[in-house]
Formats: sequence, C-alpha cells, structure tokens
Amino acid sequence: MAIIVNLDVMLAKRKMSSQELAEKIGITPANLSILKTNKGKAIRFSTLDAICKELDCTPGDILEYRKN
Amino acid sequence: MKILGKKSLSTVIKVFLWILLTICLIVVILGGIVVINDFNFFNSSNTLRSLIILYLSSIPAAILITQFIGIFKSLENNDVFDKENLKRLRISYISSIVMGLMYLINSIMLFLSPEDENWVIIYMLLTYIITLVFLIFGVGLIVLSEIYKRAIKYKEENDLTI
Repeated sequence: MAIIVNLDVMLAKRKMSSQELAEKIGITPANLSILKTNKGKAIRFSTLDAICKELDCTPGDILEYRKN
Repeated sequence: MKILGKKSLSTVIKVFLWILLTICLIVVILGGIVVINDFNFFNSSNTLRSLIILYLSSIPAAILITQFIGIFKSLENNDVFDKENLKRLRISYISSIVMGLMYLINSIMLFLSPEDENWVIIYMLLTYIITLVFLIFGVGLIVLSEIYKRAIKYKEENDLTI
C-alpha cells in the first residue's frame, strides 16, 4: 500500500512506548501493532484523533503517501 | 436450540452427516457385492450403464458429504468466516454439478436407447428430477460461495480497521 504509518517515528520522538500509547488511547497493543506494521486496512477518525491528541501531532505526521 | 457452537444444531447435523456417510459407504460396498453375485442385473445395457453411473456418482456424493461435515465442524467451533469453508463450498458445488451431469448423461442415453418403455419413462423422470436437483443445488452453492467470499473480505476489512 502507498500509505505508510510513521507511528514508530512519532513514538520515538515523544519517547513513548507502544504499550503506553495503546493504554492511553484505549486500543489493544495487538491492534496498535497492526497499525504500526502497516498491516491495517483502515483507521477510524476517532483512533486518529486520539493518537494525535496523545502525541501532540497532526495526521500528516503519522500518515505519509509514498508512490510505489 | 443454538445454531452455532458446541451442542448446537450444527453438532446434530454433523453427526447426522457422519451417519449418512457411513450408511452410503455400506450401501455402496454391499450393493456391489449383491450385484456381482446376481448377473441377471446385467441383462440390459441400460441397467448396466445406470448402475455404473450410480456407482461413479457415489464418489462426488461422498466428497460432498465430507465437505459439509467440515463446514458444520467449523460452525460448531464458531469459525464461521473461515477461509477453509470457502474452499469446501467450492469443492461442494463442483461435486454437485458433476453428479448432476452424470445423471444428465444417463437420462439422455436412456432417452436415446429405450428398452422397456414403461420402466424407462419412470426411471427417466426420476433421473431428470435428480439431475435438476443436483444442478440447481450446485448453482445455489456457487452463489452462496460468492456471498461467503465477500463476507470474509468484509470481515477481514473490519478486523483490520483500527
């Protein structure tokens, strides 16, 4: 897929663990892992909103479009 | 009564299908022994051909029942949208259509070379009914497998929406 999730980069910048973020935004670590490893098919606005709120960033910081 | 899960309707149907498969296999084996011992059965080419087709049709029939046992086993384990079920449905519709075509060939051959008219008309009607039942069942399974394929796709999408 041409959409890349840069969640690990943002987590490293904010010095936050995946487990911590998962707990804060209320999703399971397994689901966060699916998102991080680009295996997800879609992301809900509510999830994106929660991630942006916790990491203090914009959707553009997390999602990136790369041509194949 | 529950439809899915342990001790449900799926379990009852699965057990029933196992019994049916066992009875079918016993009938095929015993039937073969009886026919071989009584050569009068082979006095007409129509009977011989019908018998051979009936025997050969037991192979797709056994495959069909086996696939349905697998489907009901997965329903019993609550794996409703299992990809294996899609494969089982595909094998089932191929088996069903093969059976329908076997009976269709027999019906056409009976129509082209009638020996005893009264017997042939009754038998032909029966084979045409069986042919139609299996062909319609096969087509129904094609539609069902396509719906199932889409359902699995939607479920995967839903599971991977975070």
